[in-house]
This record gives sequence, structure tokens and C-alpha cells, in this order.
Amino acid sequence: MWIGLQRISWSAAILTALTGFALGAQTSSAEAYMERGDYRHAVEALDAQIRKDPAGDPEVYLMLAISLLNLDDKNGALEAAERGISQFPKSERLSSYYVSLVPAVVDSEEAEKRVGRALARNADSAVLKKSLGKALLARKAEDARTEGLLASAATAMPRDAEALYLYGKWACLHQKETLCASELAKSLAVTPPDNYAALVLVNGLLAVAQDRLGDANAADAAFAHAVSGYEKLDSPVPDVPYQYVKFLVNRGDVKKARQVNEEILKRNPSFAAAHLEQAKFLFHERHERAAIEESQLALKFAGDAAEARAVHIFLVKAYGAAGLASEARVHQGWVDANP
Amino acid sequence: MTPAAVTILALMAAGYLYWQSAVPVKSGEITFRDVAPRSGFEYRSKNGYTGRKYFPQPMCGGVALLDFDGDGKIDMFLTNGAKFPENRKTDASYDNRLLRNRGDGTFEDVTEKAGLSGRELGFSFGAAAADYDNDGYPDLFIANLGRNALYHNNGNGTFTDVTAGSGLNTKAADVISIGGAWLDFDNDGLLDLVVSDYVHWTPGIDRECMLKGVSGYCSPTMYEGSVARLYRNLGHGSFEDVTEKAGFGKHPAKGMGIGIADVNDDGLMDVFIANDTMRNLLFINRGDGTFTEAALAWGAAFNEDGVSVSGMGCDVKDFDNDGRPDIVYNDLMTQLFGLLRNSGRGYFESASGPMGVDRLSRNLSGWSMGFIDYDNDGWKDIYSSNGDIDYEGANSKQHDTMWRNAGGRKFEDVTAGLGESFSHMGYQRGAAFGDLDNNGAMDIVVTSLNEKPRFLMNSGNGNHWLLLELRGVRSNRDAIGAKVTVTLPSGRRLFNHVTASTGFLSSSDKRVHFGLEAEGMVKFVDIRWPSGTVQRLANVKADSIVKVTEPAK
Repeated sequence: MWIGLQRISWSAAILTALTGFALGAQTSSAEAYMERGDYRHAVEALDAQIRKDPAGDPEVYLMLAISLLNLDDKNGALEAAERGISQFPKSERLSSYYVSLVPAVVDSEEAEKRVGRALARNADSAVLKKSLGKALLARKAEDARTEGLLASAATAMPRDAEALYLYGKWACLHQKETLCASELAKSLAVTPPDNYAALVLVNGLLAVAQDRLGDANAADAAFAHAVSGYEKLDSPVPDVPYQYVKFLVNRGDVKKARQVNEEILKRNPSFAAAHLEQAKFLFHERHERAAIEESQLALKFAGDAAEARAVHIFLVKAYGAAGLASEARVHQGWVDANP
Repeated sequence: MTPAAVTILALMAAGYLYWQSAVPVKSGEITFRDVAPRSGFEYRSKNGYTGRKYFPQPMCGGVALLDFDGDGKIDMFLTNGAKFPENRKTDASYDNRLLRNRGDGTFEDVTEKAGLSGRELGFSFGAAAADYDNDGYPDLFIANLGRNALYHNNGNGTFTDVTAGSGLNTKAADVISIGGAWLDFDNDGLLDLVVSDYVHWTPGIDRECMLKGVSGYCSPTMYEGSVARLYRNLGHGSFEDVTEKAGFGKHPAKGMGIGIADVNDDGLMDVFIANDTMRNLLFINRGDGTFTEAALAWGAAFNEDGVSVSGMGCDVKDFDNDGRPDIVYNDLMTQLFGLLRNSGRGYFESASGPMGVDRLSRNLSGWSMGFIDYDNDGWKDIYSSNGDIDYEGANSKQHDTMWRNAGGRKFEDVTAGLGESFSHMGYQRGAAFGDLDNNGAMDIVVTSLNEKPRFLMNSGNGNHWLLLELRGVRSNRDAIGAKVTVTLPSGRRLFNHVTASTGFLSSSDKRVHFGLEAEGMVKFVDIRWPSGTVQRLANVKADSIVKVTEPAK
């Protein structure tokens, strides 16, 4: 979310901006190749430089990895970064690049192993701790190492919004809502105001934590901020706003829930869950036929069997209430056939 | 003749009389106090765990509340487990127990005299009390692994096992029966029985499952499910298994709690069964001896997301005072309990979110449960006995919860204020409601795995109340299925019906309870008896236990 894979056209200025360090003199020829987009020759030059002085400069490994990635050699890029890390285990800049590269090249289980090995060589690396903690959180949140890794990363990098978010997320997953809300608030404080995707995600989780803490007003405010971010996204992801809809329904604010749901349908017209929710609003208002039409859209856009199942289940009830028993039986048949 | 005397005579002529005018309960905040330690009984629920985890062990400790000796005081029957792999009650520590209410806050163990130890049975689960032969004494059905049991109450403090020849023993020997519920589905005046059967299991096919690296109890998904069974009472102690004929047999089940109510107001009792890891079942009574399973069409089969949960206890009563019975069921942590509001249009609408049940139940694993107006304000609250399946981490031991119904708008958690006894941490299982001291405040009997049970006496809060003990004449004598509407002087109307089936493994006081809040008089009590007879009582005094006999036509 915060750190994307850097597959970029080369320029020294960009590298400096991305990694925060300037090029050394020995890389000047490679730099010239990279500036021209001639990554093949850049690789040759960088390889030569490494053969000559493997312990000279971590930047060489980074440039090599970037060049290889631009040549679509992901495995080579990963290998270059790993060679760099083994030479310069304390280089947080190399580590940062490495942890963004690993998940793009190997599967999550292998990524976890590789980052774990890197961390074993550099046990103090906050970047690696965050990365391993993130991988564990995604794959096996119950792993006893996760809390320590994420707590340590969040403490060591108090201005790293993602580290704070991940620790907050771990806390929420373990019913530690107060800690969760506190870490997420810190994360929000250092999240750039134009990082709308992050604002949606963090505010959404913060809302859940506040709701669990019994502070419905704070939850409402956090959800509202999330929706505000959602409305600014070029590629809007509707999950958090949809959670807001459910939250509002549970609060009894059906009017506002409908407004938010309709906004979701405008921005994500293929989002099945919002169509089903809309159908439920209509059904609750006794507009059975309209509810059925709306839920047919939900069925059309259902992404998987679970989503489709929820719609079929609803349609059994809706058709039944509308007095259309034979149609209800069709959907009942689907549910029966898909237990 | 004085007006009061006229009234009394009129009331008696109408077929009811005040049985007891109890001492008003004290005013103030309600607490529940455990009085079980005052009584010298030996029972503690014992699931037979000795290091090897057998599948049924988490489900031990059923409760039935009944007045077995007809002295007007509610007694209790507690079921118990068995030793595995033998599936036998190998010594007295596994005995089921009958505890007689002495009326002074203590209970006397009369199991041996009553002949109810169940030593000949295997692991016992639920108990259901009712007068199936209309002789005036409540009998007992016990659901077991192995054969089920029907005990006839002889009316002299003893019971006789009459299972053999009763027709009730038609299930396969390897089926776990969880509980039973009495109802008169054909309104012929004889109580029929529905039994929730769970899975096919014997110690010989028990599987060992590892959870987080340690031995744990397997999920019911590992075992083949069964079906709910329906037995029609033919009279003279004889039952016919009508499971297939009635349409129950076509619907797979892993049945747990059973709720009995007339959900579509057609005068016929319907059956809701909460299933574990399978869709719930709602059998709508067609009135011709058959039922239509319609949980899906009624919106009661799955949760709001279309997913099956580990349904445990359930209750079907009217929580929002609109005259229509609603459904509540509980399940395991993170699944969220279900509260379904009866729309009156042939389906239920999920009320779990709007009523706060989602949020309140998130971290609970519930077992027995039900609607109970614990504070006599006329709104039925929700009680749940909680505790995880086994020790699986920090939140495994849990306490009971009481969610107060705030005027039908929201449920709010009032557990913390109900006292230390109520908040006991453990693995709570069976629980039943009843007025053990006849003071109009509903008490709760709860079992906890491998612990002594708690008899939680409700202190009351000074609100008015009414308890109705109905006696059927044309209808079944227990009047199970009778619908009662109470109209208060303010015009407020309250609804309930006669059923003992609540929660999980358990059977409650069958008397119909109403909290009246500040109103000290009931303008009308309207009773629709299962026979179809309609009866109205006028100007009924509050704070009374009133016996009402069905008018003979």
C-alpha cells in the first residue's frame, strides 16, 4: 500500500528520491546507461563493479536489482538484492527495496522464509521486522512472533504509517481494541493527506475498533472519513464504505445507509454486495418486485459462489413474499444444490 | 354481597382462581444470588473427561424445571454425562439428579427415591418435562447417547421408566439425541414430542483432532448428521414415530435447541430447530399431520450473510410485543447470535444488527439461552449461558450474559450489574428459567462443565408481574401452545405462549410469565387454547400466580 514495487525508468534523481541516497562515483558509467534506458549495459557495468569490489557500496546492488527488474528478470533482481543484503545486512535502504521486491517474485510462504533469513542476518532491521510481521499477519495471524515484530517495527519507525497500521491491525485481530485504535490514530497522523487509499483503509479499521469499544460516534466519524477518501479514489474499492453501510443499518440510520450505499453503486456499479443491500432496503419497504430486480443485479455481479449464495437465499424469501412460489423454488433449488 | 366477593365468584366461575398472592419483591436494582451452596446435593456436571477428548463431552448438564410433586414449588432435574469409551454412568457421580424444592431456598436430592438416576442410561443430554398422559403430573423425557428415556411420573414421588413399548425408541443406537420438546402438533389434546438428533457417533468412531497443536474436540462436520424426529402421542403411553410421514425425515439436521411456537398464527404449533454447522430448520405445521420445512423461505435458515453457523440454543417468543413470535439463537464466538423479527408476512427479518445483538455477541460462545423478562418491565430480555467449547485461549471461560430489552428498540448488556454469582466464569451449558420462589421474578438454573450448578435467585425490583398456570381440559393438560394476551389498564398489550422448550438441553417452568412494570392490575387476560377455545378474564390482580382452567364446552 505504502511501498510499491519500484520498476522504473532510470534517473539518478528518481533513485535519490526513492531511496534517499545519492550515487557514488564508481557507478557513474552504469548510471549513464540507466539514464539512457540501456539496462543491459548497465547490468554488465554493475556486475563488473561488484566483481571488482563486492563490499564496496550497497547502492551498486540496488541499481543492479532495478536494472534487472527493468529487463523483466525478476529472479535476477531478487538475487541481486539478496546478494546486496548479505554483503550489507545493515542497509535499511536495500532492505526496503528487498521487502518490496520479494512478494512480487515468490509466493507468500517463500517470501516469508526469505525475509526471515534476511532478518536473521540483521536482527535489528525495523524494515525487515515490519515485512516479516506483515507476511505473518497475512498468512498466520496467530503466529506468536507477529506481535513482537510489528510492535518493534512500529516503535522503531514512528513515522512509518504502514508499520503503525500493521501493528494496529494485529491488535484489532486480537481483540485489543484500545491498542488498535491508538496505533491507527498514530498511523493516520503520519499518512499523507493525499494517500486516499491508505486513509480509507486505516479509517475503516479504526471505525471497527471504535465500534467495538462502544464509541459509535467515533466509529461513525472514522467511517465518514473513510468514505470521504473513497470518493476521491480514481479506482475506488468499496469494501470499507460497504462496512459503513452495515454499521449504519445496525445503528438504525437506514436513511444514511441508503445514501452511502447509493454512492457505492454510483462509483462501483458492479459491486454485488451493494446491490444486495439495496435489495434489502427495498424489501424492507415492502417493494418486493423492485427488491427482486435489484437482487438480480447482485446475482449478475456476484464474484463467487458465496456471494451468489447470499443472493439466492434472499431471492427465496423475496419471491416467496411476492407470492411467486415457483420462482422461489428455483432459487431454493440452487441453494439446496450448493450446500 | 360485596363487590369484591362478586368479583371473586365471577372469577372462579370463569374458571380460574388466585393460587397464591406472593410477597412483593424488593425495589431497586436486580441482582442474582446463587443459593445452590445452601443445599447439600452431590451433583456436579461430569462429562467424563480424563485426558482423551471425546466428541460429545462439551455438551453436558441439561436442566428441566418442573413441579413434579404438585406442591406449587418448582423443582429441578439435572442431566449428567457418562464415562467414555464405555458410555455408561459407572458410578453415582454421573447420575442425573432430581432436586425437590423445599420452599425455603434449599433443594433436597430425591433422585434415588424417584428412580431417576439414569444409571441404566448412557451420556444424558437434554431433558424435557411435560404431562404427556394428562394425569396432572409432569413426566420426563431424557435425550441420550444410546437409548432415549421416557419416565412416567407416578404422582407419589416416584417415576417409572416406560420407554420400552412407548414407541419412542426408534432412533439408531449410534445417534446422539440432544433434546426434546413437547407440543401438541395436531391439537388432539395429547402432547407429542419432537427430538433433536445430532450426529451419528459412538466412542468407537471418535476421531482425534488437533487445534493449534494440541488435542481438541472435533467439529461436528466430521460426523454424519441425522434428522429431527417427531413422535405422535396415540394415548395410553404409546407414541408413533411420524418422522417420515410428517416430513421431518427429508431434512438433514445436526439438531440442538428446539423452539415451539405458532409463527404464522394459524392455531398450529410450528417447530424451529437450531442446527450446528448446518442450516436451521423451520417446520411449518400444515394441520394435516404434515409439515413444510420453510426456514429458507422464512429467512431463518442462515445468518444474514447466507452462512450456516454453529447454532446452539434457541427460543421462539415475541420480544417486540407485536403479537408475533420471533426467534433468537446463539452460536460460537465471532459467528454472532441471530435475532429474527417476525414480519407477520410469512418471513423473518434479521434484527441482530439493529437491535445490538451482533455487537453484543461477537466474543461469546453461547449454549442455552432464551427470552426472559428478568426485570418485569414487560419486555422480554435475552439471557445466554456462555463459555467456549474447551480451553482455546484467553477468552475461553466466559460468564452468562443478560441483555436488557430497552423498549423493543435495542438490547443493552446489563450483565455487570447483576452480581457476582451471575458473572461466574466457566463453561456454562444448560440453563432454564423459572420462578423458584414464586415471587414473580424469574430465576435461572445454570450448569457449568464439571462444576456445581448455580441456582440464580432474582432479587426482583418491585415491578408488578403475573404468572399464569394454565390447565387444559379439551386441550392438553399442560396447555402447551396456548396463546396469552395481557391487556393492561394503560392499553399496553403483552404476548406470550405456553411452552417449556427453551435454550439448549433444557426445559423451563411452563407457567406463563408477564412483567407488568408499574401497572398493578391486568385489565384483560385473553387465552386462545390449543383446542381453539377463546377465554377472557377481566380485572386480574397483579403480583399473583393465577391458575386458569380451560372452559369445558
